[in-house]
Amino acid sequence: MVVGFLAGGLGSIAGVGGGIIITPVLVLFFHVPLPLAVAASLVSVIATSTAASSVHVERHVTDVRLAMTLELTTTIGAAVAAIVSAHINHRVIAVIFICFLLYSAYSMVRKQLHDSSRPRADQSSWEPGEPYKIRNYPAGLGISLIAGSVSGLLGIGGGPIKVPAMYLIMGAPLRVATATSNFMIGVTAATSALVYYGRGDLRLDIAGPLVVGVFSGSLIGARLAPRIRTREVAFLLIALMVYLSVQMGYKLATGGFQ
Amino acid sequence: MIDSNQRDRIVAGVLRWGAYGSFGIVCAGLLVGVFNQNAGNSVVRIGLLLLIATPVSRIVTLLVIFLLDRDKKYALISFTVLLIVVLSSLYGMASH
Repeated sequence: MVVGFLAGGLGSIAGVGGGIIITPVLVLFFHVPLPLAVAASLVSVIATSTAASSVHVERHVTDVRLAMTLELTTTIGAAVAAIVSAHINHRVIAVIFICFLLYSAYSMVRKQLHDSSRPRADQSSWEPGEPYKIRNYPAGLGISLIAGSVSGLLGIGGGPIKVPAMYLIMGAPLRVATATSNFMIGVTAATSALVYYGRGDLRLDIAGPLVVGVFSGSLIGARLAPRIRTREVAFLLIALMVYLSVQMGYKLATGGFQ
Repeated sequence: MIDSNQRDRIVAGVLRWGAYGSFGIVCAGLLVGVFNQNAGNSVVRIGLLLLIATPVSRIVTLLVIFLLDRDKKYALISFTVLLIVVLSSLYGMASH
């Protein structure tokens, strides 16, 4: 519950999902087997996505048509990855996880640099109701397939893959891309969570307290966010991600994840 | 006809009730679990299944809205997404 609370709180302040933190913490510090950690993380990812996207949808920043279209491939990726994950060596999954932790840390560093080099007004120039044209559907669908697979394999949301795809390649405003990615995460994670549940990998004694922690953490985090400096929280998360990837690497090198 | 404001309000409502409802049920289940572990586990299971069902029910909600709007293209897309989710969960159940 404490893990969920911290992950939810930090995540909602820095604007990322907690999934990337939850799986490695459960595996490294609570010695939870990888598939069970992924299943528990998926459920908490659904909790944060659902709670956050209800707010975004109400503010009309979510593109539900774009979301539904891209969900065609995120759900296929999520389903296939969740089904295949039972037959993949855990060491391979751990290596992919380390790569994704480092990529997420890198994309957060880039975002921080980007934020400080540009005035705030420039990023929030789009207002709900303003028209924009979505292009490059084939590329967007392809990247969503990858995002869905990574989500189903690692128990994460996959925002760092989808947001740049929608913003840079498909031409959605950044706010729309962020809200739409969040909206899609619930459906994507639910698809793979159902596969893990059916397989018996969803442990109630792990997922129950975790969900309560994540949910209350993200509620408090959202309240605190305007009052604390999100920059420090972002750097704390970056440091945590690098630390977790090193720990995962150490566990891998010393014969873990068999 | 359902305009986009109405649509967004309905979808946001489904998500909010699903999120808060499942949160409440899981909390209640953990509390019950202190006294009776089996009963607590059953309640936690219901809460978690409601949470997983929430995004799925928002697909159904949007499917109905697109159908009412006679928006054939997006109704078909929603239906396909729903089909993928249902089929993969059936596969998950069957593989156990």
